[in-house]
Amino acid sequence: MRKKLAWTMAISLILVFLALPWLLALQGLSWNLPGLTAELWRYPGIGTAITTSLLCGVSATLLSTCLASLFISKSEGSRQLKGSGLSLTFAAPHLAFAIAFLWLLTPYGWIDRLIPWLTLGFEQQSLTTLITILVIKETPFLVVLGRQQLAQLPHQQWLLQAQILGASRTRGWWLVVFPAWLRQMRLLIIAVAIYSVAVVDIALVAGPLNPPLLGPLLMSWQQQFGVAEQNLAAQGLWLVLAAGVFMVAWVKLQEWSVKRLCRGLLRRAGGNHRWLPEGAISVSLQLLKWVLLAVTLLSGLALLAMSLGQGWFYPRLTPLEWQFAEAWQLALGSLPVVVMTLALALATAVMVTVILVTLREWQRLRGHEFADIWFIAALLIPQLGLVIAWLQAESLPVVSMHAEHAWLLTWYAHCWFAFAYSYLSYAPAERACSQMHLNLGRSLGYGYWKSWWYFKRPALRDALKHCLLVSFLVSLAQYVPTVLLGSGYIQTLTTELVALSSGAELRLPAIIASVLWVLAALAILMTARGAPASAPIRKLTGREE
Amino acid sequence: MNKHRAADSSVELSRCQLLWRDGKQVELPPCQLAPGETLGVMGPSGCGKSTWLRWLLGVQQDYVDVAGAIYFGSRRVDHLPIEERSTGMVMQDQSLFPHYSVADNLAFALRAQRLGRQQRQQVIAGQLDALGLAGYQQRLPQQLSGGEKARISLLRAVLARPQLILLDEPFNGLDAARRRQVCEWTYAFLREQRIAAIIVSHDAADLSGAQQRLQWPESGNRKDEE
Amino acid sequence: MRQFHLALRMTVVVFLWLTFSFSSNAAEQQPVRFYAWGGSAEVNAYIEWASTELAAEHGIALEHVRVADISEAVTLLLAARPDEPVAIDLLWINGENFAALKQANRLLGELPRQVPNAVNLREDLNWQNDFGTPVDGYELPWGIAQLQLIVRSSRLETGQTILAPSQLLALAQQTPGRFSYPKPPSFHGTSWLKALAFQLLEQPEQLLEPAPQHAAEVLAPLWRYLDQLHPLLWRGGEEFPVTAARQRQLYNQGVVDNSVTFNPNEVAALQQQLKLAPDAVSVSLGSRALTNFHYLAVPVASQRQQAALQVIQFFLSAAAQQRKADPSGWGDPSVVRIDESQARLFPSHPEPHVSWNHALEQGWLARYQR
Repeated sequence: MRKKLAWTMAISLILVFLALPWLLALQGLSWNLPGLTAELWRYPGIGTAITTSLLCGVSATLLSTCLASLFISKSEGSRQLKGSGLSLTFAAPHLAFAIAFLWLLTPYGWIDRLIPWLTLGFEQQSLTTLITILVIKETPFLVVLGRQQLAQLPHQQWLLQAQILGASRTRGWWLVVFPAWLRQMRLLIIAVAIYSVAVVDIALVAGPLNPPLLGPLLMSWQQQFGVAEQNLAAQGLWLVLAAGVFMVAWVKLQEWSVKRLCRGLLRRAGGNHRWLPEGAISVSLQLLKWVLLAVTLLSGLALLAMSLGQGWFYPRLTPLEWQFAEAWQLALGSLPVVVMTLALALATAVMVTVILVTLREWQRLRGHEFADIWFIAALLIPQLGLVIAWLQAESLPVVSMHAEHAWLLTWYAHCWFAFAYSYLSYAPAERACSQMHLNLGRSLGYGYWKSWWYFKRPALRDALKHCLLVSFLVSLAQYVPTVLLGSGYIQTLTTELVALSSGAELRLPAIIASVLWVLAALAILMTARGAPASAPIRKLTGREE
Repeated sequence: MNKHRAADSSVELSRCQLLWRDGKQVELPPCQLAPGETLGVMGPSGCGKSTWLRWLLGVQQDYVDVAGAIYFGSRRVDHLPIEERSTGMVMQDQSLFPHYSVADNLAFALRAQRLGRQQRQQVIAGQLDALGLAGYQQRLPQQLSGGEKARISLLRAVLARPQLILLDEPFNGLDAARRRQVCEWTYAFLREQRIAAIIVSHDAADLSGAQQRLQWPESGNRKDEE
Repeated sequence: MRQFHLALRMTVVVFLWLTFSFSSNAAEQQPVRFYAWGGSAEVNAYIEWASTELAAEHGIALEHVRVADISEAVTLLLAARPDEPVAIDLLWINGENFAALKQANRLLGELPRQVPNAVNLREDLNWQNDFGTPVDGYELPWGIAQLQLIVRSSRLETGQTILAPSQLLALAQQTPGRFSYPKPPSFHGTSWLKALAFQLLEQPEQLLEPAPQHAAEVLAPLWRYLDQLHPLLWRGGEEFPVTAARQRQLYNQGVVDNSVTFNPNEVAALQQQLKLAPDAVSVSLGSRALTNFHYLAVPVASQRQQAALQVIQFFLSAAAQQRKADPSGWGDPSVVRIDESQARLFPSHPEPHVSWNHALEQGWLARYQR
């Protein structure tokens, strides 16, 4: 009876934790819909802001989906494409990467100085640059998580069946496995699409600013105190939400087109003539992987160099001075922010993992599965829209005026958003884990959690590590909730980086970015050690019995 | 690939030796199957039956060496890749593609026959009708019962017009009454379609309709013999 | 799982440490939360120096809350109920932000009476007017800003100190794509528009009066000039550096040949610190330069007003002002009389009336943000 009560209380708390932000957001949604005559439509450049945002969302989503699909299709067979190259790009904090990217690849940047006749076309403050950075960051995300999703499909059997029915492996892959994988990836791709259409931090650093994209525009309205701007923010909120809906529709359209195309090809008669230039694709992917790897490594080195060098004026390839002591001083100066960031990220990681484990166990115990959508819905709404709705809810701004509350609120928001991402990585792994050992333990007289710890946890080791890692990284990268909910009390490396990158300095942002990168890399190293490569289901092709 | 099929050519398996990396070895006698004839192979689970089936199918298995030959008529096929081997396979559950409808699943098997849209639909409707599954075209595999799934899996394999169909414990997962029914239908259907088949099972009752039977031999150990 | 344990333990340790350090700080020293723009390492270093001095001499822990734009703090103050205590004790502020807080009665008044060092403020400077809004004792000047152009010396004649708008246009025609200016309504961008308006308007004294209904007509010469200039600018005048700081970065990278500064000492100071290319010189846009001040103010809802006033008293001391003016650091000219040679200031004209901000910014956005 007491145990039951404890379960009920824990679960109630978790459900309140998950549901409260939604209620608050509903309270904060001003029903001030931007009608046809709203001043929103008269804001200079609003049309361009909307179209460029949608263009950014659509092209970043489409390109990264295509690239990730190709990588996944190739990684199935080729060993080289399985390697850790993409994971390395995946691990680079996006903002740190963006800063290095700009310094390296824009006109008069370092590469331009090194090889002047090479025209790359990545301008500062341009849509192309922004989309490129988004694609470079999102493709590895989709590939890394896409492999996990693929492992949950019996794709080897399907491939075998397709071959038995006379299709080549390639054809079988694209006609049978690919549409199923794409369907499986839907939520992840929507998360990417929503992020791209309402991106704030990278857009501030690399995107067009005359006019800005919807994200930065809404953010700037929210941060101004004028009645007109507050009104614009309230109306713009709906615009961002609508952009989110548009992107969901876009992802569904992508998926539908693929399905339709595959069904058509499935029925079409014909042999296994080469309907894709396989060799060329393989080579270009190999090349792209190396380019990504090179750009990532070079970015890391560039940040390090920018941290240490001073006076890097055009057309110099090297700085006027290397200032190691000053750089060290500046790095030490950022220590309180590092501590704050770490504390927040670690607290988030632990909290999210505890909540997630409890929630999953409760579902297993009851033998009832809720649909994933309930737990990751936070990813399907533009984050900026949610946070602004919270701020416009009556109760919140007052609460966040106090330092301790700002702490708690920011932590809450980090946990809430990190929860959704971690759920995506933990839940499927947990679902695949048998409850048998746990029950066996209980039959031997251990309590539920003791039994979980001794018998089920070892099986979930990698999943738990991954869950900690994902929530840590998500917390590390949070910008909008930290700035808007922390009301200046909470400074993390990410908020510092955005604030500093609006300045003229190269070195301080580079130092902060380097530290951010190092933290992310350390987290990944700590959790990656000893983790075996993902083992795809090999029921038919592997050793049986 | 299937167009090479010579009518009424028999399937011939030479003496076959399976040699596992850990030293276990099994030797199978030669056998010949006329079109429509079925070989039932019985043995306990874990004895290596499925490994043998996968070799017949053409799946690369690096933990076992197999010495033997497969002939369809006078043509030796054991060096051909899976998709060109004209060999079908039906497994107990995951044969059908769950995200495609019954019609799509069947259409995939009909690709080689280069039918027009209308013709293809007619073939599918006719075949489903004959199995008592009329109107099932748009259903998804998850909406089918175990018996229906089994029948459509076999139908899909047959529609590709292979020389040989392998059935790996095809009736597992069916309840006793339906198992008998599906089992009888399977033998009748294979006979009627004049396709040679090999059925592997751990249950003698599943093999009652097979014209030839083979008890899986005891495995020896190379090291013991040496 | 070792990592899990480790992470758990580290979190606990970090939390304990944080709690301890916060509480021990609070016990010993009076904290003052200073909301100030945090985009410059020199300014940050200066404030850090100040907090060390304040901690040692006055037992005050000055916490620099770095904001990207001080309007964030203004938003917070205006969002709180008037009677509610806030955790913002000191603000670095001017212009519209000051006007908004003063109008909403959110600032502590009679500062000159409560800050003894205010008597040392330079009388030769017109700091009593902050962008057309009378200061009225609700803020005290901290530093001086004068709009100057930073230009690559190779584009100028030797010894040139003044660049008239027509000369700039001619330069842009010679080297298209090499010039730009910070995007309005950023602080520097709007200031650039104001300075240009003073040069180009037929009756510039109109700018000192509140903007009339027909402001757009009055500004027509400005827009005509910009229409001519824009196609010759960086990115064809389609994009603009989002801040002056970003433009300086672009200057250093070699993307553009000019930048804008509001700090008369900045060129020398930055070059000394290797933060500005050595080929940069400062010139005045026209013969008179737009001049304004930046201030310190205390929210009326702050719980630690006395400590905040002490901080202002410190910031207005000769020592603190002198250090602030040091070109190897921030290099912001002193607002109090000190013996050191004063910064090179051009003849000045005051800020236009605050109502012109709106006319200029909205006019610019409507024309050029499309």
